[in-house]
Amino acid sequence: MSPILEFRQATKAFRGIPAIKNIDFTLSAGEIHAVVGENGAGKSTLMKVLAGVYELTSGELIFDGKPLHLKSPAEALAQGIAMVFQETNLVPSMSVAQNIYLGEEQLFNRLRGLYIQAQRFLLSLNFYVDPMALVSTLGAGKKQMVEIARAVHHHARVLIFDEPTASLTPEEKFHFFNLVRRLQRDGMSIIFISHALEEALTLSDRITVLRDGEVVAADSTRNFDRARLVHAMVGRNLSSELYGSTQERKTRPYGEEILSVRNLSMGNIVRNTSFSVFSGQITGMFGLVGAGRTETMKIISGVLKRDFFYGGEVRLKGRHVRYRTPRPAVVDGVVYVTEDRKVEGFFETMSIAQNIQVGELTTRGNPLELVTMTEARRMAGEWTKRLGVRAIDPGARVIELSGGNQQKVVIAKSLIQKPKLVIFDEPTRGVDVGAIVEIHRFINELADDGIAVVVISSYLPEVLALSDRILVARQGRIVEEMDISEATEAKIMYAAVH
Amino acid sequence: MIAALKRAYAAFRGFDDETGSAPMMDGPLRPNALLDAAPVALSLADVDNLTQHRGALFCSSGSQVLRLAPQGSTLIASDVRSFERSVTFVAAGPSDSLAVGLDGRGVLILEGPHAGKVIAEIGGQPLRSPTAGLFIDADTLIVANGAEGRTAADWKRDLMERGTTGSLWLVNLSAPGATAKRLGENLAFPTGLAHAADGRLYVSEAWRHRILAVEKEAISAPQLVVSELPAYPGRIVPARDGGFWLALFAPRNQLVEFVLREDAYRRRMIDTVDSNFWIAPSLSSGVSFLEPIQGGARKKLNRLKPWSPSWSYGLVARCAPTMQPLRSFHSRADGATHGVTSCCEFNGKLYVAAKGSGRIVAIDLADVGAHDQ
Repeated sequence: MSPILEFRQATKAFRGIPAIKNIDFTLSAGEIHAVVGENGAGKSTLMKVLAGVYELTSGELIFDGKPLHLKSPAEALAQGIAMVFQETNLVPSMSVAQNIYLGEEQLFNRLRGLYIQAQRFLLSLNFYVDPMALVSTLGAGKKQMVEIARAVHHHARVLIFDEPTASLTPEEKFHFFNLVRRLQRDGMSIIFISHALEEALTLSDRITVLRDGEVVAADSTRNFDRARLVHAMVGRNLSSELYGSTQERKTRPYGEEILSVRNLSMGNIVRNTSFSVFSGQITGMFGLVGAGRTETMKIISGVLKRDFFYGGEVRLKGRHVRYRTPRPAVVDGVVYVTEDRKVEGFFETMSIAQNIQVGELTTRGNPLELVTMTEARRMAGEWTKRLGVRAIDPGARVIELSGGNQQKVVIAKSLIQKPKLVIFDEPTRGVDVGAIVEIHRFINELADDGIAVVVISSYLPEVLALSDRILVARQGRIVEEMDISEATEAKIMYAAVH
Repeated sequence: MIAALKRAYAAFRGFDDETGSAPMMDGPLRPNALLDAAPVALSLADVDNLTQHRGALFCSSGSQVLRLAPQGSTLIASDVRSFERSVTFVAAGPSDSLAVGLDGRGVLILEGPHAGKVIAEIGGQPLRSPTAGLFIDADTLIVANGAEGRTAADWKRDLMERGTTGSLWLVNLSAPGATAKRLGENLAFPTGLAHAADGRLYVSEAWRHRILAVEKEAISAPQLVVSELPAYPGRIVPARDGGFWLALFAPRNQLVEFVLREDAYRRRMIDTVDSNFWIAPSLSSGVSFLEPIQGGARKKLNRLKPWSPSWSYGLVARCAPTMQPLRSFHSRADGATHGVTSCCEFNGKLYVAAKGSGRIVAIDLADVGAHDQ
């Protein structure tokens, strides 16, 4: 196959520090090419150059045999290069259909026609998303679907997916893989960035591995296996640390009942659900997108409000609570680590220290109390060291960090609040294998310290690897509870679907 | 403004208050059918308090105290003593002391240094509802009086009238006339007693679904140990490897919780309906179609749904030394080991007395790994 796109000795530096250096990369026509690497390896930077977000510091980009200098994403799109970003870039106040056809508006638009057109288009992709729904009301999985649909709609010749399946359920992933293969059959070249190595091994024709901004391996997929990929990515063998056998693990005993939720209801999203959470344990929560897991936990932590009448009860250590804002929940020791870190997790233009300090300020009783940046920097230093946050510069803005490091900042910002109950929503979404191991280790340490931990995850091996007990949600309620000793992927999935 | 009005209306109507629901049985109390799977060691009507005394297993049944001898996988009962009143508890203690509670009468010391002594009055009042007893030493007995002026058999009425007249007494048997000191009062039907590792006493307070810790020697404010249990707690028995066994004799149920809030309705029900058919927990159920529950809600294809709301249930919880439940053994709505009032470890087995179903089942502790906590 002839190359459609090529990087030659591509280097991109920020403040003189190269994020990628001397990269040689080739994409053939009609090829699915997986790019893998740890967070901070330079995958997203390389792809952002390709999508017109950044310009190369040195080296060249050849597209269709001709050098290409992209100045903006619009220019890249005009050339036929589209990117589906890791963090969705949709307009939350507009409907799904309006987002898909954004930029193609006529002088007079007939919304009904637009919705019908969008409905047909979404169904052709097997995406069950309401075209009239506001994007702000969608969960992360459905937002990702809209993002993919928008890229497919633009008839791109090169399509770049940055962590496309991170927030999709197994069922949706199956549809997504079929879609990618269909696009490939139609002659589209696809670059696929993923931390789920099985997906890269299953879907791609070729794999390029980046480490510290350089290509460390590039080969046909059939010459790779999981162990070789992991070794190439991190320079050491992590297979035993990541998603080890659940049988080898000793389950933590039940501690005190910290949280008791009874008949909790919120519209038709959370429907009369009841469960408990115990201290010194990790309670895993699995469910398909739309199962109401995130919404349930957001009600508990005061981000969302339950139904006013007959909305059920939430008891924290036996005490009846109804949080209308997150602050009283934080003061009571309930923290929620969001799944959508870019929107809800941090202030992207503020530094690591400032973000962590914001978390700490929430717990202070006196609003007039003065705080100093020296103190903030000391606290930030402590937490970045504890969580292993790697930044080029200690004063770097959070937006400049890789996904894994951003996630660690969000975790630090929550844990500085000294919680009794920590709710992690998709804690390793868009995070590389090295950081996953670190985050998992940290979550385990929290439970060992006697804190009640809830982990919401759509990735079954993660649920099985972390949890002491597993709750399965379906259609807005908890439908099954399993001890880790009896849980299998098949059992959990059966409960989540049937 | 709208929110304030809504809140006021909710407060007026009683929405969103703390008494509207029954807790989930999940986590360590997740339902299973282990009590029904356990072999029946003995079928005995009204079987109640199991206890170990002089290296043998004893139980009460109606107005009798029986000695139980293992024979293969079963138990053979032989009569030890009969009384004119129902036996409410059997307590064994040091120096081979044995005490029994007699419903409506008081406590009789059956064996030991104070054999023959009767405690018929306590604190100047007749001891009519002795629900639990615990020896501290051969001369000191702690007695729980479930409800003042009411017999222990009348427990359902005490619950439906929201009784809080229970009390806890320390009785000095060596003093002339057996003097008693009050350790706790205004308790909502205390039903179980055990020595805590820190020198205090654990007391199960049935109608408030909780376990309290109280000082042994002096009256003090009880400390809450475990609250919001999903069933009414009964006797507490020490486990061999540390911790405790807790028998929970009847399930909490949302309908009962609702009826307990509706005073006028409840009064009318008490006045006009036979107590067997009250909307109230029970030690056994399903015996009459007159029971206040819809058949359609309990059965599917003529089979009892195990998860259906039931007036009776079987539940034993294994608890940590802090009384936090660690795991549990259940007999669900479709089960046949309901109304568990007592249990006792003996010869490597946990014997569970289901008063409602009239049977003792034996759980082999090695098989179920009950001590692997």
